[in-house]
Amino acid sequence: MTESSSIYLPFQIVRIIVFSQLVAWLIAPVMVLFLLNRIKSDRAAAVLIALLAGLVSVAALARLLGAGFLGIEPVFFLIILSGFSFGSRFGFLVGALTLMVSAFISGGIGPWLPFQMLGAGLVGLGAGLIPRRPEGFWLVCYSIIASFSYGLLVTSLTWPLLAAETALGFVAENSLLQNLVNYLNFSLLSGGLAWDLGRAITTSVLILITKKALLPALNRAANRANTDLAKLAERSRVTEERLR
Amino acid sequence: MVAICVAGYIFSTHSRRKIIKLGLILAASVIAVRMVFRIVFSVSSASPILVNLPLLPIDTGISKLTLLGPISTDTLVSGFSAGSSLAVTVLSFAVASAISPPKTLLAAMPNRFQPIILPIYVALALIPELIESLSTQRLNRKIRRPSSESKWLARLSPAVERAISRSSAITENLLLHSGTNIGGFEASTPAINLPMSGELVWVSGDNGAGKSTHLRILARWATQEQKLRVFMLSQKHFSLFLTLRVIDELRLAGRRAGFDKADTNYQIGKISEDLAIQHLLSRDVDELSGGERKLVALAAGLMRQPDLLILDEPLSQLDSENSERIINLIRQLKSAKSVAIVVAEHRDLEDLADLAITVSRVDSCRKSIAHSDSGIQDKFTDEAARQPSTLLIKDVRIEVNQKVRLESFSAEVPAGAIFLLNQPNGFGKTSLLQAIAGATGYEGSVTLNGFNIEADQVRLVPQDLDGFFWNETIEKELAEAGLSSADAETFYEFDPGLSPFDLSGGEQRLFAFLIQSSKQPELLLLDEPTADIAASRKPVLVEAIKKRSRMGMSTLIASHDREFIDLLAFSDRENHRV
Repeated sequence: MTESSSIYLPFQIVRIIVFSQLVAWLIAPVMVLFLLNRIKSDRAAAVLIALLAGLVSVAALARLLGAGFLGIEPVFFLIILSGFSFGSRFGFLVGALTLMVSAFISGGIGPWLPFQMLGAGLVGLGAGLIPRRPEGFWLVCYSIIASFSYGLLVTSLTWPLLAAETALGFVAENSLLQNLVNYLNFSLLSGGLAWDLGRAITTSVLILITKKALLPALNRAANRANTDLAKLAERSRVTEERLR
Repeated sequence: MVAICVAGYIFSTHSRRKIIKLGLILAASVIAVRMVFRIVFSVSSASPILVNLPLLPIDTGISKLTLLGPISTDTLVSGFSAGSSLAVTVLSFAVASAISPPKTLLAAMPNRFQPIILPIYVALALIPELIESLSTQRLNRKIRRPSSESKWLARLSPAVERAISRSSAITENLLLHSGTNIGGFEASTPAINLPMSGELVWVSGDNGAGKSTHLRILARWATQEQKLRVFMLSQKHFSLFLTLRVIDELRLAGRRAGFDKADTNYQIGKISEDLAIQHLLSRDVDELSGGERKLVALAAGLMRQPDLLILDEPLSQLDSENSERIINLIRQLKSAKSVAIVVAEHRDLEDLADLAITVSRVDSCRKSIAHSDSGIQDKFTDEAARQPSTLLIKDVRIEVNQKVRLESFSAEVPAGAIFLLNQPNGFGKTSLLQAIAGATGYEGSVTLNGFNIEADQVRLVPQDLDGFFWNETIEKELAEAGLSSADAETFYEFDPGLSPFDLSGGEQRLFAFLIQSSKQPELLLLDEPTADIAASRKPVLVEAIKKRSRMGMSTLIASHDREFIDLLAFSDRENHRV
């Protein structure tokens, strides 16, 4: 590597940052707004909104209070279960909004946010496409795939920036194979792979333990939120009198 | 960039500082990580070389690598400069979100988008509530002392269900206040008549009769069919603050209502004077207490100049001074004749007796409370009455998170007595009762007949019942407490098949009393036992408390309810000490 390229490097990094930021900050909010708008025009919109916000709050709380170390993140199992029970559209929104809202509350807003939103959103979206039977098997398979895919996305974001100009970096002149080796070395040595493995294990275990209790609870809650007010009021009558 | 941050840190408020601090830490660590990578996985060895670290060959299983090696100035400079361009990006986000918090940005989005992003608002309002309720729940589990320690798994689904039902209440409130009409939010004809401007309707009724339901129907109908501006202060009030300071919150409400700057300031001055909250205006919304939040939420609601003001239990959880303010405000609003008012309140509004009001009485046809006023008998019986115990509280001092909750308190509760604590708000009554029940720590000594209190000797009915119940049905809840479903009919007709979460606020309190008192503890602690309890039920509750006291239970009550205190005092004067 020559002297001139290392002076030039910061500009390259700035270019990568600006470009990826522009794209991500456009795509993530537009997708969220688009899907939210479809929910708003649903026949049972008020119920769906309550359900969505309730799930997002619980998941965001789990993310804020959860340890997070070595991928022990008790948030993905909720996103996957939501997508699995209420469909892809809903799953994407739970994933994307959870990451967004928890960042709003913790103050952790940064260039990574739109990527996290997209990543978690896609995890929820995919969960809506899992075959129904056998439930447990497919959910665990999906948890493992989703955990590593999410890791892949996060690592692809940090790799060109953190590892540039090192033995692990991306070099345009190198062969595809050499760059792949560098990438794998980076994700191993930066702890990314360990993180993904931790995430895969935590998510699968949590899904297996909680799905039996949580899936019916989610459906019950959805039904209860739909209780007709007028029916409730029918059970009581009102008499009026004037006081003076 | 760093200079801007440091300046910003010095000259800004607490919540902004937190964000900037986080940004600085993240930025520093980005640079550090980048430098470490540059040094450890170094490739270039351009001169001049500063330090020559030994080479360290490793095999990752994917390929062989050589770590460390010579470090040149070039390594450090390029590592730092590349790292700092990342750090600047991170810092810019931190500064931007400190200057304009994301919640405020949401509020600034065009009106067209507001109904679309409603779920985000709901989640932002719900999360702090959930965080608060987590600690209450932890406390209440200690108070309940379940016979078998139920696992976190068993509590997870009820917790999620409750979060979703809270979420639908917040959604409804926000839909109401934004005047949005969407699917699943249809209006039906209300049973309570819509009052004219300047008229006041007082909604009364037994516990679980459906007062809140009727208010919600009226609110929906008035918004959607009558196109009125409605402000409803809910029983469990849901305040969503979108800005950092109270005054900004009121300004936002003014802007939304379409006032210009001068009008907004005039309205803020007037409303904050009426509610006596001028001293709160410059405070951060995060620092407000529960009662203060309620007042600020009401002020923000009034800024919107509603046509219809609906107050569901506005006085609950407020001390007498704050209650007085709200009553005065209602009086003023009524005489100004600019707004129609509907109030549901268990406490007798005798202070408003001079005003002409319409009373809407709600009667329930629900099975569980079919026998409303008459014919309720406390079926509480137990084996022989026991020898009552004396409670001695000596120099108890309570500190939670470095905040003094109770300053050196001593008292003696004679054996079998009903002892009343009616000190003002903030004295530490709730903390004292929690400490005696063994749920929190304290300094000093609390003894029962001269011995330390054992877990099964004492039972507390807490003020905040969040997380107090977690089973699907009343029957299972009773089983958990070691009671049979026949006990469900002691002094109140609870339907064993019903979920405890479907009970109204007052019913839940009665049920909690039933659960905690039926196993005949030696000491019964009651924290505000009449909150949300209908006036007609208070004599029954007093009778139940006295009966248990005669059976040899010593009772310690914290209450502000004058009516309730009078009932206790008149019927049992010699046992009642203040």
